[in-house]
Amino acid sequence: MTPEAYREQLLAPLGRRAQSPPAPLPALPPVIWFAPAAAGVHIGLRDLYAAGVQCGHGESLAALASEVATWDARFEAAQDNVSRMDAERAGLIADRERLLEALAAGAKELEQTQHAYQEYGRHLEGELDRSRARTRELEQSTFWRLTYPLRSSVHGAKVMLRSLRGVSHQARLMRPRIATAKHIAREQGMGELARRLWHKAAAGRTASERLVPRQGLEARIGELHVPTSDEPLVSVVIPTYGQDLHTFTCLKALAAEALRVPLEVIVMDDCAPQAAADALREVRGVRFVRNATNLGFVRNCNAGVALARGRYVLFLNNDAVVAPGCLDAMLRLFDERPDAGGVGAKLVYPDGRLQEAGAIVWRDGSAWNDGRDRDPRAPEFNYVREADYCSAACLLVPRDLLLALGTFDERYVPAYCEDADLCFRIREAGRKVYYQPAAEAVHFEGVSHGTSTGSGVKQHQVENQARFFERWRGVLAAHRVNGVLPRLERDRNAQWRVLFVEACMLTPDHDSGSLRTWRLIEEMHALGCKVTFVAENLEKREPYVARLQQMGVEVLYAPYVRSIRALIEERGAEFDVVVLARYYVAAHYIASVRRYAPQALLVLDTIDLHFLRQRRLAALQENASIAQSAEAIYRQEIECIQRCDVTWVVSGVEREILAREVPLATVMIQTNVHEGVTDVPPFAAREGIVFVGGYRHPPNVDAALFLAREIVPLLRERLPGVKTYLLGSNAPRAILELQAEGLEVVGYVPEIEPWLDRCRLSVSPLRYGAGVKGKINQAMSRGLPVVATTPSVEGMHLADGEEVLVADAPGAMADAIVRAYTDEALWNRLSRGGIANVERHFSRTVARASLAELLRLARKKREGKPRSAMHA
Amino acid sequence: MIDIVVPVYRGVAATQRCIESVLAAPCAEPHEVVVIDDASPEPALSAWLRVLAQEGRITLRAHASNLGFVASANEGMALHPERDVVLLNSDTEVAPGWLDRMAACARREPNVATVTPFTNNGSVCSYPRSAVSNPLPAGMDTAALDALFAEVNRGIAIDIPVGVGFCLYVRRAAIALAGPFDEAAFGRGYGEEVDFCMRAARAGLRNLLAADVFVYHEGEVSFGKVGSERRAAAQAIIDERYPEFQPNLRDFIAREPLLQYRRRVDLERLRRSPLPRVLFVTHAWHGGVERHVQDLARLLESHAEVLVMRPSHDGRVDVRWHRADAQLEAWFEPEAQWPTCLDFLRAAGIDRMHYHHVHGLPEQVLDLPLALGVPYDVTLHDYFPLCPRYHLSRDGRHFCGGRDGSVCDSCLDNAPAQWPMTLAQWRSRFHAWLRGAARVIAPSADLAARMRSNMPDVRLLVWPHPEMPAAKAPVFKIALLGAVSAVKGARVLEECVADARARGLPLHFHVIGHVDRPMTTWPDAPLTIGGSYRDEHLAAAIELERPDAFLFLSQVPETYSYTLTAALRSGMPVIAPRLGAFPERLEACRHATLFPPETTAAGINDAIVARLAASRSPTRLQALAEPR
Repeated sequence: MTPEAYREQLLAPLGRRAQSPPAPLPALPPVIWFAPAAAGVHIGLRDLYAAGVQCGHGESLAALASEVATWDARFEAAQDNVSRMDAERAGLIADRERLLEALAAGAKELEQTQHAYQEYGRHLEGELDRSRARTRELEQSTFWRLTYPLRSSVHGAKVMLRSLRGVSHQARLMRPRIATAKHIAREQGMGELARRLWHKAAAGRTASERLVPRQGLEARIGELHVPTSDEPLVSVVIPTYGQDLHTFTCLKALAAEALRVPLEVIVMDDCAPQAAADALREVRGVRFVRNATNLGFVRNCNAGVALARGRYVLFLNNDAVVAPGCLDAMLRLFDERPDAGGVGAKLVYPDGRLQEAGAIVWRDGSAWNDGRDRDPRAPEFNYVREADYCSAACLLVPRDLLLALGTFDERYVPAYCEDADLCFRIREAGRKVYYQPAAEAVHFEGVSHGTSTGSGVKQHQVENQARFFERWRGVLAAHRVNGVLPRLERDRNAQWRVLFVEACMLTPDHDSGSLRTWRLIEEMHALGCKVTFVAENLEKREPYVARLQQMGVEVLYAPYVRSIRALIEERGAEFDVVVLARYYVAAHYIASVRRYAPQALLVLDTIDLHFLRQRRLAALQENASIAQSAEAIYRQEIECIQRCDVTWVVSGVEREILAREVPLATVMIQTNVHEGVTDVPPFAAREGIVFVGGYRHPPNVDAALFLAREIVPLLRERLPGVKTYLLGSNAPRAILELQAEGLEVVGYVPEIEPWLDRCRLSVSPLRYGAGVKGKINQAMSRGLPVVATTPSVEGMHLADGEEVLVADAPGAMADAIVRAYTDEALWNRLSRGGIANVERHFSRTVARASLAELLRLARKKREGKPRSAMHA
Repeated sequence: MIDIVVPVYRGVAATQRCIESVLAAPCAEPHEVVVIDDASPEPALSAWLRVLAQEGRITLRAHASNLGFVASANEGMALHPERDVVLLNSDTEVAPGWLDRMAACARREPNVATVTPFTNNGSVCSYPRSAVSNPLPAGMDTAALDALFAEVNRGIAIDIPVGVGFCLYVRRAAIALAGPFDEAAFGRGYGEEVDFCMRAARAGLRNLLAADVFVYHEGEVSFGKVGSERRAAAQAIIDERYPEFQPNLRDFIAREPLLQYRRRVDLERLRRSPLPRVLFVTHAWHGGVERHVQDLARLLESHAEVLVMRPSHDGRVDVRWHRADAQLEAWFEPEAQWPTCLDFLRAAGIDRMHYHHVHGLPEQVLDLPLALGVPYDVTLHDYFPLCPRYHLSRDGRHFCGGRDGSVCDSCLDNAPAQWPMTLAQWRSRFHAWLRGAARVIAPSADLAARMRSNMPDVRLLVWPHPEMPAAKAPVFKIALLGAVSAVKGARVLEECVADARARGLPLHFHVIGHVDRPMTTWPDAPLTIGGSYRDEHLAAAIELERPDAFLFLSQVPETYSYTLTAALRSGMPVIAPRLGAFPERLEACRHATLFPPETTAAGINDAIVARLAASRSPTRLQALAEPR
């Protein structure tokens, strides 16, 4: 075939184009026209040589050539770097000399103190000898009765002497440590000392200290294009004072963000000796503004905000480097939480230590960077929560709010405490300040404050802290005293603390049990609970962990938690409610909870009654060994119910059974949560029959086999051409092999809703089981009629013919399916009835009311038994 | 009333085209055409202008001696001190209605200083590429392109750092506030408009681009070569006077606020094409797929508009109009911007899709035909519908047989498919997709058979790839032996290579050994450097290379030359200078040619060709008669 013939064939169906006047151009966002920056793939010279020279790969050879061409310049730059580092080293050595002198002075002071103690001790020993002599004298005298007070003073002296000896011994051991501690206490206050000691203790508890170093500084200032927008969503205000390589590194990271988020970048040069615009002249897309005089951090930032045009302003220190996706994560919180007034990022040091996960402000106005020096991956620093404040090193605030508040208060000129004050004012204005762990920035803290540093800085810090304390004294009265229970102070606003222990990580897109728990956690969160979730296998399964963390749930996992028992032992005291899901999980931990969390209301979530399900399977299969195991389960499950404060079941039927079996137990219905939709695709627009079931749940496997073997063959004749789809994860081979005419095994689908909106009918041919059937509620909540067996509708409050069609035998089932599939009026009635039933019995309102009732019980328990002193 | 001021110096044809276009372009705005003849050295030009003036079509001011562009412009601006002025270079061409749109833009707000239109050649206002001199797109003239801008960018004005002098609308208020052009500093032109615009900007006025006007600009006629020096001098003055100018400009270039208005015009050009549009979908790798896509795009060039979608290395989806003079290319985030991508493709009017590969693209790319409502073809280049690893190999080395798929899931455990799917899901997804295709093309019957055995109901066409005939011409390999240093003739070798290339001689030089400097080599020049060899390997190296002749270029008398021995033993012709030991050692050799030591490179090449012609069969040597 000639090329021309090929073309003829290819274009044959196209013909000439009909020329209609083109519709107007659609509005297209300008960002689509920006080409991506060149891919920054680094390949080592050795590899380039091997691929290019030895293997003859042309591109590698070209890369090698251009790489080698830059080498001399880089070597020169490295040499410059070395001389600069030499100079720095000389400075550090001088610093070390000064510190050693100070240390020697401190040691001398300590020695003098110790000497004084020893003198005093000798004096007391002398006193003691004299006392003993007198005692003997007096004991031998006849005035024994009169000596009582003296004897007691002798005893006091002995005790004191012993303790003083101890002090002196400790002092010898601790001398270097105490000198450090004294220095810290003097220079940074007792609060800082307490913080360090706490973290020292906490560090010992943390299993993992494997830190991952973050990206360092760029090698040198080079060319950079920051693709900023004319209509920025975010205005990034970067105060600078010199440190241009840091600024460059900062901007380079922003350039990558700018592809996702429309940005403008304003670099506020606070009159540094060398103009930033000059030092960074190869940087394009950034607005450089230079102050005529040095304004200091506060005024410099305020000037930057005045120039900003975006809906949000990001305060970003020039020594902070945002990680990919940082801005998205921060912006997302504003979308998800209408009350957000400020969002701060997770700050890490270049070596991978955590620098700040939000900050805690204590009653005296002093502050801790939460999590400083810890592992940034530790679960406690990775859920969204409120923070007293987040550092303005990377802080996102809506611009209108900033303008309303007047940005940073000039009482803090030139710097320090202004960010804490801003966050407090954001809260005063009725908004909240959130810490977003998914947004990470590397912070070379201390490099620069965007202002000239020099003597007197420490003084500003002290003065501003006093000003800050004056301004917020009233609010701070409700905070804890410095260093007391930081773990609780971190979520100070939590009204309830709930620990939720499940068998596995929740996978709400795989099974309806997970979906129910997920929604319960959402509702708890809405009711003001801080929820701590842990799976018994301690897995960290994504994306579910991340989603929970973004919701504000603290998720615990290995290696940060060693075992559930250790967790309960260590943290049990803080919880108001402990929920243990499934009897076989609960059985292991009830004793620990009672011992270490006696104040907590203990809830057993049965999910569905396991013994009931097993008994029914035994009956269906007429199997004695299953019957035997059912009775073993019965004993354990009932025992758990008896030992817990509250038992959750999902249906009224189960509650009635338990009312007979365990009459004294408090049993509450905590059922599945569904939301009825209003927009239901009509009868005519649908086709096919759908079955949904996670196949880890054995009743679903039985149901699918029953449907495929006994019902689908009947449907093939009566509804020719109509397909039945089997959906659900973890299908075993037996299910996968069912594929046949009129039957398609679809398997796991990430989103089930499109199927429920496309099919005309849902079937639930369960022949045994217990609990509430998620598949039925899920179908009904989307207006999809259901044909179900009697075991399926148990406890579902469903009326046959109005809200559901019920049938058990294969023939009857097929009849019902054909009726519902072909009778549009019936279909419409079932569709409306199903939605109404979900609203009545399975809505969020129902779930929330029941949870509120549970929290009332928890409060009663808390008030009945005084809580431990820790919670005062 | 607006004055259109055209200073004229030289270039009859360009100037005539310019002034005739101004006179011919209908405009509602009342205007007067003022031509300043700055003592043109071309009498025909001056004469032509005088005729126009006599006919009353222009106002002519003629200088007795050359005063320079800046003085001429100032004179034009001073002529009617109440009018707005358009300064128009004499190498431009305007289109109907241009002045009305320029004036409308200038009057949008009271604080406008200048207005500049889009052009093909005018710094940041250039189209389709910024800051270069572009030819007009094929098949379009100034009027057609201007009409397109007028429609697509109707009423849009963008702030630019400074106006550009080829066509600058200046408001009278700006002249009053900022003063005239600075003749003293910018004498004969270049930089004066930047200086003026910066003064205006500092006074709080704006310089705008009218995005709905296009004016053609030839460029570099008035000043010729002297231009670049004058430009550097002007730049130095600007930098000193306005340190903010360069940062502003850099910032503007980085933000590229004009980019979207260029691309909208590109998109509209595509929309107006009478040809059907085909969207190719392919991966981002090189190799056979890319070759086929390029071949096919070239084959379809005059019969269809081809757009190519492929993944971009930053994770976006790249769509490009595959036409040499088009710049239309857009990038879409696969999640957030998918609806935008659909809008774009709908606007482009895609008629049909043609898939070549989907590697690196998001899954929804398979549903594009449905979303766009168009039929689609698929050309298979590997086994991707069957095998998520594409090549039916479990370990990347051996063919796995690839029939029943029973081992595939464990294969995927090690390297998951690009979309999160099991093998069954993968195959069923692609099976359904192939069934939906209008045509599924396999380039070989073997591929078709393998597909059929797995997916029997997919209708497959076996069409071998279309291939263009490749040009192939005979070429002779001329070997040089040893270390070719300066004294052994390295410089002459370079000249010989350059000459052979320039004249298209069928010669290829091959150094068995090395040279003493980096040289341009194949494919950029007919030269290959084989690399150093150990002495005992020379005979084998010659045998391996099988040269057609040997060339020696020694610049000083050789005393013996072992390498010559090796050449002689091969029995092939030898060409060497008549110098040192060569004449006596080559005396007995039938195939030798000796050339005088002072022979030029071209002369040596001629000697080689003559020697080959003398010693080889005529059929193979036809090439020597007619250089390529």
